Amino acid sequence: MNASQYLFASFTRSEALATVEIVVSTAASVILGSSLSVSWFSLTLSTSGLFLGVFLVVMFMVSLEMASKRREVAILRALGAKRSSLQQAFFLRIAHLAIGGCVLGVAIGYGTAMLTAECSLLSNEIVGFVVVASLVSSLGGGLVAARKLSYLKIGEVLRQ
Amino acid sequence: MSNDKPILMIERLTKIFETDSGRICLFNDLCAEIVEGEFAAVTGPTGVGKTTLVNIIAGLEKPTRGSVTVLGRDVTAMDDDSLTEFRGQSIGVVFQGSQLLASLNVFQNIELPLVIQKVDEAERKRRTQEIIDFLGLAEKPSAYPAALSVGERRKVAIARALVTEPPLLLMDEPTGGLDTAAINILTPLLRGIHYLHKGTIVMATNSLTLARMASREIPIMRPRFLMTCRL
Repeated sequence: MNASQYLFASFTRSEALATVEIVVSTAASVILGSSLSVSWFSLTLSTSGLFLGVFLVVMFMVSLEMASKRREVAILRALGAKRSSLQQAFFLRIAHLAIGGCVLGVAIGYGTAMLTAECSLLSNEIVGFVVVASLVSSLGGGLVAARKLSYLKIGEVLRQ
Repeated sequence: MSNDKPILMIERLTKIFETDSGRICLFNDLCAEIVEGEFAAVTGPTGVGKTTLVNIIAGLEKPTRGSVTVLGRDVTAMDDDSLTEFRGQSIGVVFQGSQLLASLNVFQNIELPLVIQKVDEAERKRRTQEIIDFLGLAEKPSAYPAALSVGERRKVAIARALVTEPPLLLMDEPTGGLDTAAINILTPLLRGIHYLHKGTIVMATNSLTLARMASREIPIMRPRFLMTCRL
């Protein structure tokens, strides 16, 4: 069963906010990485700060999203949908946002670096590092929040 | 229809709720046995735990003690995945508030349990259409729940519970919140469902008219307050 089609009919405000956070943090890290004066140590430190923010924002946004869809999730579970298939649907949704946000963030960061003529300093290693950090933090935040589905009390939700 | 094969066995069932004013004990070691083809009405005034009992039988809530065996399987002891699969295949539930998905139309809501069970599309459409025709919803397959009356939503919920042809159908206050006109339409329909469904029906209700339709009544006793004040 593709649970996504029943849970995610439209792009919500919390998803938009999470995506903006991923895009901005990724772009900022790419721009930072293209700067002459930044060492690997400072890049890692500042990127960690940015992506810790991404982790927390995504986790919070997915939690909000799940709270707003508690009833739908409870109905699907009551009708026989397995917990794992619903967790997977939430996680796939986050994966789409994370990958989309990451690609857009790299593009914006790269474009900004080009405008400031520092593009040549941007190595593949730096871009790779930023992409991995961006994906790990956003997917991690989504995964931690999606695990909360395990604690949903179906009977109680449907009674409300 | 009945051949005395037990479909549902409730043994020494108790559910204790913690509230601000103390502990409330529901069912008080309830025991009941419902055989194949039987139409049982779980009766009692509001607050005795009829919905809780339906939820426990459906495996949506756990009892504090006791067991519930449906078709030979103890739903209080099954792991989550097996229970979910078992519920999808063997138990149809009509919830008190209908509980339809607002983003899906009538047809999609009714076919949803078959989609979850991965029934092939042609069979799914056939069975959904059949139940839609039977319940008189043929004019509204593409309507969304918000555009339906409460009675029509209840019909959709009944259709959704019946579409998988479950051996056990649970109905929680099927006429609750309906006006007299809707009740007058739904009551003979429930009679027809019992006649055609051939399965076992357990219906929680506080309506005497509905309870009289059932072949047996299971009255739920008033809850006991184990502790009414905090020290």
